[in-house]
Amino acid sequence: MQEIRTEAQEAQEDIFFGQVSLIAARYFLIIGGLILVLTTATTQAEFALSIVPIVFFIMMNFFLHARYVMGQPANRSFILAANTLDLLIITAIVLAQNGLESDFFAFYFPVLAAFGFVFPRRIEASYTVVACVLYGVACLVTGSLFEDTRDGTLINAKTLGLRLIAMAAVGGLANYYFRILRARRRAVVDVTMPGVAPIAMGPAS
Amino acid sequence: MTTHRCPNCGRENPAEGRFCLHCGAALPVTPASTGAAPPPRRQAGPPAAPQRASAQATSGAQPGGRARAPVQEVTAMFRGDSSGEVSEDLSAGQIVIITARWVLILAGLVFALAPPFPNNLVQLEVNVVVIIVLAMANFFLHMQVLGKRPTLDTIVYASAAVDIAVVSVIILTQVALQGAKAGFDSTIYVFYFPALLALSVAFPRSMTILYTGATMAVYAMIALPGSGGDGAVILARLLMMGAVAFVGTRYLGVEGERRRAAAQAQQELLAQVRQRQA
Repeated sequence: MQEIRTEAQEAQEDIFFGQVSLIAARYFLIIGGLILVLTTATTQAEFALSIVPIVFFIMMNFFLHARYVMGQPANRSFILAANTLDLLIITAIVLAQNGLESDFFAFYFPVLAAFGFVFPRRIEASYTVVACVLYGVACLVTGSLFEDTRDGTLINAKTLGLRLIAMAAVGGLANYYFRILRARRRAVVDVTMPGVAPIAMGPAS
Repeated sequence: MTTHRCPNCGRENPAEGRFCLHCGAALPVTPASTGAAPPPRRQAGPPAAPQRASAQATSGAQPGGRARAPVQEVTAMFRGDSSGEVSEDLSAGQIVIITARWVLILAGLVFALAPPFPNNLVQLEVNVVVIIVLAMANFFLHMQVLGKRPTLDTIVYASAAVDIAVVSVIILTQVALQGAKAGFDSTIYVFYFPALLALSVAFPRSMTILYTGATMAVYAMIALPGSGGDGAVILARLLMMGAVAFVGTRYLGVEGERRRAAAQAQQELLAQVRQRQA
């Protein structure tokens, strides 16, 4: 009759329910990517090259969405891999469009928000840091951070700093709210069982 | 099969039970009942409501160690009072909005006070004054939350509108002083993202749609005149703003359903226990 969930099981359920956010965020990336590719490509070759990652996004998201609808959601490792791939693809596009000048960096935001709703703090923090580092490196490698004048470079550095702060804030806030809601859910269960002693849980995986 | 004896009626119960099947009394927790948790099961559709007990939840602690009142938290849910639940969502989400605002304030100060400074002193002064006013208002709201004093829903809605307005005013100041192109070039719009995320996880869906729509409209009006044919770039930015708000409000909905399912299952469990008692 009774069933006791460990934190590991709860984390599993968080991934199950949170997949909706991840899938929705990726659909927005697809639509945004399509708009940008369709309106900014100037040659057939450029268009063909730019559309490849979008098509890849579409296929991956259809697969994840179909599994979710069938009640067989992808496991944690697959979700992590898919989201890491999201970051890499966005960074590749940013790199291709000269780093700081690229407007594709805005695509990091929904991905970071959705990820923050699904995974525990440590994983989410690592993911956000990786996203910020990837974007920072992309801006450095392309040289888009540096201008002929010192002031120009400083302005670019401020721009990069603000963008990184906003990215970190979105990831951090999403995960903060994820933990608040988790505590609310736990409280709902426990409050109606007065007198039950707390049970030691295993660490969340 | 391992069993343990009820301290109240003296009859045997399964080791993993938390209540006596015969009299309904709470059973003492033994190592056997905590160590042998069943493996996670694959579930088609939403899984059964999680029933768990943890020290954090029993004490009603929030992440960050602050105590909350769980009884008050779930009252509206058991009453089936949707407006009460909306207020509780607002109350729970308010700290996220306040945190988002602190991020906005700190980043704004860094942006304003780090060289190179804007050519126009007025622009710097406007930026700093707006940030200080925002910080004072946020300090007041934060004190209300820390002191566990209820904040009116209207104030929470108004403060979120002020956040959006502040970001827009700073961009508009740049436009006024540097020309229409500054609206498109300004990077300040990135602060719409945390602001929208914070309100989307706290506000009911209709309000989130209203605020997000208004934000997108205001930003489009500011940035489009200086976009010089780059309308698609503006469209992509707006779409990402919508994406962040959508993801937030969707998550709020999913979590609400999970919480209601948990409460429902808990009620059914208690009813079963009472039935056996009878």
